[in-house]
Amino acid sequence: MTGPIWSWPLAMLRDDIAARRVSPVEAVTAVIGRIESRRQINAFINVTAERALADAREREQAVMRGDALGPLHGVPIALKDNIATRGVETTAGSPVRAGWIPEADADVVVALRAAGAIVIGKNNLFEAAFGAAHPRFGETLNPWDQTLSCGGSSSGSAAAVADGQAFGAIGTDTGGSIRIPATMCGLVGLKLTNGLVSNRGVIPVSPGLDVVGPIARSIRDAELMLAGMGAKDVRREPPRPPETIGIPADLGRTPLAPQAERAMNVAKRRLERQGFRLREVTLPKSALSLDVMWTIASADIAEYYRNELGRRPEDFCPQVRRNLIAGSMIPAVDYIRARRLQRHIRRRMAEAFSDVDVVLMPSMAIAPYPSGAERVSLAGKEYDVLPAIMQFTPLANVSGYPALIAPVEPATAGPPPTVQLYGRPYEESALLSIGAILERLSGPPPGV
Amino acid sequence: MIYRDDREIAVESQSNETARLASMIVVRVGALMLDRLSAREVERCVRDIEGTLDRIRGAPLPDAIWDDEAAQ
Repeated sequence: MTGPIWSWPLAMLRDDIAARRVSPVEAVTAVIGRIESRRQINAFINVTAERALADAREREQAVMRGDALGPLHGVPIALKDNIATRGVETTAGSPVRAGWIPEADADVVVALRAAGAIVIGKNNLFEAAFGAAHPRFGETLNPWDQTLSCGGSSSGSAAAVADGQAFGAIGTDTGGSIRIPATMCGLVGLKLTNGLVSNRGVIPVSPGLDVVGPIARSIRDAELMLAGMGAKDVRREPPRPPETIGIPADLGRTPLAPQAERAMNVAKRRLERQGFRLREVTLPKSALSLDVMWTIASADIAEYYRNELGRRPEDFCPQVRRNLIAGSMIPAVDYIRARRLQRHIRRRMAEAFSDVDVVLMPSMAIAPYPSGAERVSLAGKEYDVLPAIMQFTPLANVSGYPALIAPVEPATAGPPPTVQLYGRPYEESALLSIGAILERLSGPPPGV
Repeated sequence: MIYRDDREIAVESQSNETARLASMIVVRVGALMLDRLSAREVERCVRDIEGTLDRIRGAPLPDAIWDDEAAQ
């Protein structure tokens, strides 16, 4: 492999470490150097270089001893900073949690370390994973084009992976927070089936909607990350190989931008050429999923930060403070109705998936957008950015179904275009197999 | 308009809904916080959530008699 180590695929690094061609110490040193040279991206809140180097030396000794190696042995990865790490400050991107040093790792971190991963640091994110970046931690820049937003809330996780500052990252997703940044940075992002991996040790937004998941530069890399995450063994039989791909009959309020439409057409053609049957499918309304997700998550997070909101509201950034106040005002009867609608949506999803194995849909309605933009123009009309980027994501959280972002074309100007795939609960393997067919990688990170 | 004195917190607004919801901030979030919020910020919070809640209230659902929970 040519190019600096930090630009290599995760899978190749792991294989080269196992074959003793590269030391984990070399990999960690290369990534730390990349992070130091690219501080302006602001992908990390905390780089744990000393601990990572100590872990790398231990991993190196394990290789030299001939120990059995886990799927992420010696691989430097990053964690969104709402995931607890023993002895390392965990902030959730908010001054109200800054200074918290957990006494234990989150369950997913325990699993990742057992799989051999080396935590290189904690990624920047939207404050409390719900709204906008706090000025104390600052915006993360998009490595492909620094005028573009990174999306959120796992902004630093996606930027770090896209920029070669980590070989993979773990984000969290309550309504699209893994998938939107993955789309904005042209990466693979996997929102797992709700409950497949433990959330214990993750600072919550909404416990029933929150999901941890990998962000990676390829499908294969995402598979390895998932293999190291400690997923529960919930299926007795492997799912049958996917044959029928659903295409939503109604794509929702905001019309598709040309880039999103083109990515969909490319994906459809590629799947048809591979022999898959495409069939129109009626899904629950995307706008309703967003409303249900927003109502439940707003109330849940307002309850979680209730004391902080009452005692020190000025410590939240204005957008997050507004979200928390709004969540505090949701009457119980509306919250309960949102929960009933959630169950209704789950039933509709099960019906939709009775005829198809996987559903193909856009990642976002709009193309990657400028940082700070609140409105975008499409076909001569103005649209709000937030519902347009969340048009296709909350359905996965509300229904509990897994969803994958996969690049379908190489980068030309800006990040590579992506599409999204939804699958049945616990059938992440079907999504990854289709994602691998669609995958047209961008090549190495920017700057190689 | 929102004001506070030593004895009471009151909310006046041309919009009854804004007044009602701003009052709820007092009840649900705490009077302490109201000192630090502007009327504009409260109104924006109300605007942020009211459209969402209106759609939640209006979304069709089967009668709860026939809902899943009734079958438990």
